[in-house]
Amino acid sequence: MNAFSCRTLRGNKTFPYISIQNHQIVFSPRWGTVNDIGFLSAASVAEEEISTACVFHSVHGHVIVPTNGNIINNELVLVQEYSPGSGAKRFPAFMVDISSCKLLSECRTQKGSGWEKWSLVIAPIGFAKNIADQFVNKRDVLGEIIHVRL
Amino acid sequence: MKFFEIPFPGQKPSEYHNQNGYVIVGEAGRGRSKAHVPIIGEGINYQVKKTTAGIILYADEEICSEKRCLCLINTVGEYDRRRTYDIFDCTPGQIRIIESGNHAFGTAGMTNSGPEFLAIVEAGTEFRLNSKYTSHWYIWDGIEWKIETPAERQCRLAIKAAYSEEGEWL
Repeated sequence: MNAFSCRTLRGNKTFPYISIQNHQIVFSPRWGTVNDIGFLSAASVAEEEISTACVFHSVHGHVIVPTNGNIINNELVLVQEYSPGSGAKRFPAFMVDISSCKLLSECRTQKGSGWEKWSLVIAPIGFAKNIADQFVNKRDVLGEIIHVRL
Repeated sequence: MKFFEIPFPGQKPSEYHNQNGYVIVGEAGRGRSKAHVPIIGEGINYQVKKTTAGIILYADEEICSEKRCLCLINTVGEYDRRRTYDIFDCTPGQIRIIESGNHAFGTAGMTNSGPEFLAIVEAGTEFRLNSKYTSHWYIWDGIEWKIETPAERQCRLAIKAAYSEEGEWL
């Protein structure tokens, strides 16, 4: 059983936890309209900000189980990619190359101005910080896909 | 058995209140079909009788211990020309339809439509109803109805699988 450190990545910000509500990672996008609320992952706890966790895989999806284990091989990152909608179009879109990560699940908005795509991935240690440091969140900066820079 | 109704996909089933002395299934008009099922007596415990003339419901005040229930299920949500309305993902034999009608949209009733059912639902039945943008799962456990979204259902099943170790640790 591997323990992962949990990160939430959104633009140039990273948070050292993944938020859980009602036993699941809640998909609450800011841009776009959600038609059919997707499912990212379940959690064994009802409400918590999980910083270290193990991941269980079943045919019905993944379950995040908080742990106090010290063996951290990789990061479990909730990548919140987005393109701003009406009123914030001059701000850059945040897009990430996750080809080097193991994708567990993803949800996206389907219509409306702007869009969001949230992906739960297992990434190498330092992935979230590396991406966040490269993203420039300023007006009139062109949005582009950010790759991990080693 | 108890009598419930699902007036609209996404709404929690509520107990049916007999007001007219009959149950209306479906609606009248072009592209639609409507059926009346008479109710004899008053009460919360219903029995279904099939006669040569049609279905009759008998109601009385006896305490109901049956795990099956009678349910009026309207499968039709808001108008969307591409959305399909019906009962989905139900195990065959769990729902016994005793009367059906039809709801449609528009004066001519040609744009989109879907059925309404009066059915006997067995304990342990699960099925899904579409609404305009999403869908909901309905579960009758023999005592009460539960309703959940696909995400809530997937979450529940994933946690259940984790507790029974039907999978693997990453």
